Amino acid sequence: MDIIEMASSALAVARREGATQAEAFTVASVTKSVYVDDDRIKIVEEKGDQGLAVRVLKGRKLAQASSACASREDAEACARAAASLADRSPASRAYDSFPRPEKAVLSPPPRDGRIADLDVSVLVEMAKATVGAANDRGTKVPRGVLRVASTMMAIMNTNGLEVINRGTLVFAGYDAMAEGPAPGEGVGNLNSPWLRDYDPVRMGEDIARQALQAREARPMDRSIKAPVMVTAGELSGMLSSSIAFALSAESVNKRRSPWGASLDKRVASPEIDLVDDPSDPQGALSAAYDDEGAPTTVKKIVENGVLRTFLYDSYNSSMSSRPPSGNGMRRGPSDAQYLFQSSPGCRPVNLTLRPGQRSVEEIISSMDKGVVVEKFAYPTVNPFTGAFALEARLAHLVNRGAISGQIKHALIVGNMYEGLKNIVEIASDSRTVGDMVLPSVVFDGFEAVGSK
Amino acid sequence: MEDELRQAVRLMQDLGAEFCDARHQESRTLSIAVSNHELRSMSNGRLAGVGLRARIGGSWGFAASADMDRKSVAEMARKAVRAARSGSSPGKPIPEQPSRTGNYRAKARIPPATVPIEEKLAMVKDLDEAQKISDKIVNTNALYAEGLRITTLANSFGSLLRWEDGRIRLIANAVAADSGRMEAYRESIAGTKGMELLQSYDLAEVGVHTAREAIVQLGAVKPPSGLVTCISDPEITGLLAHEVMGHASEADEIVKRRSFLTGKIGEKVANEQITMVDDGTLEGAYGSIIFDDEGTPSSRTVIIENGTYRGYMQNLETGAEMGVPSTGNGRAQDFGRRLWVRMTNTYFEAGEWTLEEMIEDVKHGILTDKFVNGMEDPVGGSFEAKAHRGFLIENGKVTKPLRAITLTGKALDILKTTDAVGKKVKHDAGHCGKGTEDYVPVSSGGPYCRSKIIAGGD
Repeated sequence: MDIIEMASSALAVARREGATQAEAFTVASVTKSVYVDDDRIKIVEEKGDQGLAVRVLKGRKLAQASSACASREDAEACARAAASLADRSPASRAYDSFPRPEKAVLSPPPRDGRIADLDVSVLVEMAKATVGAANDRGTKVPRGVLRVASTMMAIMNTNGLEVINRGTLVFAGYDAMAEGPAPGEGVGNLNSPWLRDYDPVRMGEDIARQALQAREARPMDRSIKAPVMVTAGELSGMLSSSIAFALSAESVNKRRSPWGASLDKRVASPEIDLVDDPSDPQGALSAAYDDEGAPTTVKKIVENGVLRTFLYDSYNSSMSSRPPSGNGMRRGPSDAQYLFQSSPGCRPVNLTLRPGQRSVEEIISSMDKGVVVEKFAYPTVNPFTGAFALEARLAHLVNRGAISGQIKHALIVGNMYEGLKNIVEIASDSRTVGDMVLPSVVFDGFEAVGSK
Repeated sequence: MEDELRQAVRLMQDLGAEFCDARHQESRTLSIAVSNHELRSMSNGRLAGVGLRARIGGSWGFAASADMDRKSVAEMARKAVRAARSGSSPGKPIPEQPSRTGNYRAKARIPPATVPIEEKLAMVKDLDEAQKISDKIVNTNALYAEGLRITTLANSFGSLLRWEDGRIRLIANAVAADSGRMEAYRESIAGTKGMELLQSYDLAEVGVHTAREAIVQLGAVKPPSGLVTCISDPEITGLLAHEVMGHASEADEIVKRRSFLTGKIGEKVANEQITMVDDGTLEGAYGSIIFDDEGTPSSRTVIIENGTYRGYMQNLETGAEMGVPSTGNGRAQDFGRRLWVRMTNTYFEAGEWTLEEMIEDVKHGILTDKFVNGMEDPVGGSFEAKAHRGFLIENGKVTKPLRAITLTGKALDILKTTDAVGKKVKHDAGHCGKGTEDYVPVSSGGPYCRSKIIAGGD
């Protein structure tokens, strides 16, 4: 059964069950993965996945049901479950309509046509090349994954909206280990819609370099206050857990966004331009429509450090009496399985920070003292306050314009909302990380805390 | 479904699989979220499908699909064996296991599915409403979630098992704001019991407590930085058990020598007051399971006994590699994801101290409260544990609330400094990923413990 038939069947049943409006989000995906374990190809996977989520409105009573779907009966049962749940749901204050059909503003970004029919043996060879490159530099690869997926989504509702989104996904995540009495670990990740962006040898070289440097890194025994450069890969997690929360209209409507009262006010240094750019072919989730079928647009979110807009899905746009902004998202950048299970939330499609002029190397050469963080344990920030204290697993100390050594087990302490107002410089090294395109950024006001 | 699974196993064997299994799962979930006294979402979910594993040498082929007819399952079986042949990993054969059969129900006195939705909704609304105790509370949230998963497993040892895993969870989360400052606090009740678990709490009191503590946090100050005396609360003690020693004791990290605990059995790794276990049989705990996803019964594994390192958690493959039986720790997020060695309920056992006795001895230190998240480091032997908040201890007394605190350091250094272990063990609930994928329900816990740890926060 194809996903359009699936959606049509579900909408017909929802109508019969008394829905004032109904929406079906149906998805079929094929995922192929290769897992490396201890330098060898350990698991080779091919997975198919098909399912739907049905949302039903009965007046302002809203409910959702989702189901894996192998047959028309599954789709219809899912619609009946949503309708039954809506009967018992209290009415919303304002939400009474799914998005109306609107023409796309953007062209669908091109996707990697090679992925859908890719033989998994290609991935096996690429993973072997990464392992080989890491082995050649004296490290081993205890674990790794290389995954590609192709996805087709149909979003249909009883307002006449019919949208098809197609996507491709490439995700790679590897660890390298440099053995010894105090072993070191290197970590590399890649998100992209394009398999051409995965350079197997470069990935192997990079994780090996990190592992060797981490082995030589020393625990920091003192604390220092100096400019801190956070590399793009780590900045993504910090921004996802802070400003993506602050920008969400859901947070604003719940009165818990720290930027809730900051519209048209300064929230960052003038160098900061944040754009949601769903037209960018490099964006992992770029698309002409969001996952509710609302057209996406290129929009300035923070312009010269001034907050210009929040991100709206259809529910929160109703609550705020304004149109959806094309930011009702269900998808993620690393995995295409079971996308139907999640509900739409207000998230950027492809958050992009305008890069600076100088390379990372040029910036380091002009720093007197500083710290460059290449790997945090888990880079998250308190979304309400912006505060963080993150364990650096690999950081470089900068002294008089040059790297003077490596540290680990130090805590980098600061506040991300304050840090955005204290930008020293933005580098030119933009790359796709998760659902963002980011360069490395140097912040002032953070502290590196050692054991004394 | 049993016939299709058996047929798939036979076909994978005929095609050359040395070991194989076929797993069908059907999960049903219900969640209700209320925020600021309004229903935010009510949704149910169904996930169903089949995952097939074939092992040749030490390589696995894996295929999964929601399409479960006989023809599709047969095609998946062929794909799984073909994929296994394209791997390159050596490995010892998995020794013959007992053939297990039977049908096992979830241990819920009041199965959540038998309770009307209206009652659940009323409970969530009441929990949300109870948080509105002051104008300083700007956002109230209550979330209810229930789930029942039914697994049917056939494998090449002739096993045919069917079992249920049921879980229930209720969360309150209040946000307080005053004078431009915002802080949050949460409480959670969760387990593998039924509705009787939630009925044993005064939920209005839970809501009031959550809101009250969010307001207390508005007056919290920056925590001290550097090496400090830290009394970890049961949640943070549990996080240390889980992140510090638990992940590094998963035997797949041992067989590839990625863990700093490789070869440590019999060595003194902690103060002798410390005993740590992983116990999937703990009644009602959130990480408890009847069988792991390979059909091995869950068990209790002693990891540290009175400070001495005792052993690892195993699945069928790592057990084969190390010549020991599986401990029932082979777990996967669902039928469509890879299976790893994973924890269940991991915790430090009780000691002899009261919290008051521990605080009395501290001249300058911190007392933590509740975890946010953590990250393991099996290679380097360090860890990161984020505490939601804490309290400053000065001259043997708790003096003021502290904002969020992160703890870090080398695991073995810290466990050797643990000089006081509390009398009462508590277990929390969460979902654990291996790296940042493949989440399974677990609990961690322990008593209050006093150690020297590097701390920091803003």
